[in-house]
Amino acid sequence: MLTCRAVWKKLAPLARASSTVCRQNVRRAGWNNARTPLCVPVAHMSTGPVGGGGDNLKYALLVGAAFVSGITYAVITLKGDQKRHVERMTEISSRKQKSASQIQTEPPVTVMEAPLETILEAAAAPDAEAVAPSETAEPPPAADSKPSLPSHAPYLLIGGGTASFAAARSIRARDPGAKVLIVTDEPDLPYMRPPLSKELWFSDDPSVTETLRFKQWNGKERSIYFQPPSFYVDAEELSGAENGGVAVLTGRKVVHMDVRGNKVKLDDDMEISYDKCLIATGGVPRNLQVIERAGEEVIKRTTVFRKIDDFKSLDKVSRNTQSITIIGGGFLGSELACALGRRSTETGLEVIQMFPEKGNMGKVLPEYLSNWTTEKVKKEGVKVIREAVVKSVSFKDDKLEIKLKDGRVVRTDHIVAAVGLEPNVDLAKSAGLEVDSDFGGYRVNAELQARSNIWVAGDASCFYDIRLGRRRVEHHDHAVVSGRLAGENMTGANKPYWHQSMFWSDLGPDVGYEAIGIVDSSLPTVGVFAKATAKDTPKAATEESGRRAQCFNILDDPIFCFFFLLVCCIGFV
Amino acid sequence: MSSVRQEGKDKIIFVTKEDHETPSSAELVEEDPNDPYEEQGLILPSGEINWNCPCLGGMASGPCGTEFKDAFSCFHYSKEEVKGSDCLEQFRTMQECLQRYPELYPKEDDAPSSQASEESASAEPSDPAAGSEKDSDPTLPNTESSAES
Repeated sequence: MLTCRAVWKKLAPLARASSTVCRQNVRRAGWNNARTPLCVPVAHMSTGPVGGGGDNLKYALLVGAAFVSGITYAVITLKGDQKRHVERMTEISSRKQKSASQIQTEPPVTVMEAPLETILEAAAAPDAEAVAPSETAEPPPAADSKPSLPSHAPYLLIGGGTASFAAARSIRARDPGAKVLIVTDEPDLPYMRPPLSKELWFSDDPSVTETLRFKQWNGKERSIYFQPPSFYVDAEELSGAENGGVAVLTGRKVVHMDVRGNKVKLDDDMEISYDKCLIATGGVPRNLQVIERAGEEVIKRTTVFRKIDDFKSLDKVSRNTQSITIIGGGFLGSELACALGRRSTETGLEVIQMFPEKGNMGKVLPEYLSNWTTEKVKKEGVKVIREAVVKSVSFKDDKLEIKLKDGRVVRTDHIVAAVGLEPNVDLAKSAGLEVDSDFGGYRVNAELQARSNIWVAGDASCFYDIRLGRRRVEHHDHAVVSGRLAGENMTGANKPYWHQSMFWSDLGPDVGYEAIGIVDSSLPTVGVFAKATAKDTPKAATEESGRRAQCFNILDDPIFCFFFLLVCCIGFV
Repeated sequence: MSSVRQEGKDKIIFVTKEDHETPSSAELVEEDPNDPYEEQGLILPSGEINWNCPCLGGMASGPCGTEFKDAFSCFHYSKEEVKGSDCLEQFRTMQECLQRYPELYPKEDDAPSSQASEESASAEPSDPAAGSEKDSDPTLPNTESSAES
């Protein structure tokens, strides 16, 4: 402040002087047309300096000094910047030379060792430098050290489930000779999941856990695997395959995705670059927090159900325990309850199902149908506990003790948690892809695109449905439809999601239903039921039209057979 | 007589057979066969074959996909009097390929090759591989039932 004042005091007279000079000039120039007398002496300020010439000199000096100092500063800064730039460039090029020279020096040193090890070491040395990928020449990817597996796939599909397989099929159909590489962390080839909680449990074959074959609606038997192993090409031979093919890399997880560089890294440090990529990573079953916090003994006795291994282990458990409790009243929970309930008639197994809703499928079916479904589940031999919220689970006296919020206690041997699916978005962070905050999953547009060369399909895809808005669907047919669409779009079709997918569920081998669109019990519904005639029996109707028709009792009314037309008015239309 | 019941927000209608038989008064919007968004059948509006049709099962995408496409395309565009008579070479090549994968294309399903050739050009997507049910769109075991009904 003081310096300012001092400076101002110094400069003020000069300012006034300059303004005086200005006015003098003006008068001299005669701009002032009015009656300025020429001979009136110039009005001097009382505090102003006396000599105009001395002021001028000071003024000129000041301006000159400022000018010179400004120029000097600019020159110094520019020179400094240039110097820094040159230094940086030399450093970068010296880094390149260092890595190159190391690659060159390594082989001679290790010439005694096997060639494979040499390449490995050379690849390892530059890696140890830990350089930023964008600035240095990338050392050859580690994949080259294993000459067999492909380091580049024109079509890379991450995830080996239903959506991925549908996309692979679509790509192969539309792009002749396409080379498709599927990378999955499961040990199995692509298979369909619905039979794992339905048909496989009703099979009479005792070796079903090995063969994984089931009977379809039309009576024909098939495996849950989409195609036998001979359909696929070996991953090693994919690059050389003349007509292309579909190869599956099992047991590998993609841990990092480089969207700018168009490549992914697997959990064994192998890198694969791609031209077009599909993310179909599906999801991981959710578990209850109370169980996760309950300790090792409880977790050991809890199953979350999604994969073939889960089916095999639950099948084993159901034969070796006395009591199983299923927590969850949705599709999976109810299906498993019915399946296990059926088995309970043979083995004396106690099957309990508990959920917070008022009835089975409480969030999907309107109340009257939910009640009917619950009765049906009970008839399958299941003890249904409604409106049950789990408060804590503990392991006591060789049994699991489940305490509910309303005080009820359930003692059981094994728990199956069917409480939803957490979409797998592990790659979102490294890839920089958007994750939807409402529905979860990767956010994609109506054409299932996340980037110009990345698509997402199946359970993990939160997409825009033109008719029904943004949603994420976790059903099998949707995985097929979206996978097929993604495959088409990967081969240039540019079609939006249009064909509405359906879903179905089976409650035991006798009852099933199909639905389409948004089916939400909170919406108003209209149910249309046809009164049965004597001719209608479930068997005859199935054979004739291929649709499943069932008979059931409603509250002691005469028996009705119904063809299910569940239309949620607001939801679908 | 049909009855209507209201349970809260849910409406339940029980329809008698007679009422069900009267033609519906609902107006249906005709589907545009050339709609590019909709799923197409075996033959596209342009006259080309839709290799992605679920009706073809896995034939066009499997290891013998190229041979199958050659043979079927030849047949489809064949203008001979006996359709496909000029395509014997392609069919033979396809046959050889199918035989190399007996697991995928079981013996009794050698019929699809001849069955496909017997289809008319305006092919209705009748199950071309009736024998190879194992192949025919395994991804839609139940949707096929609802699609047909």
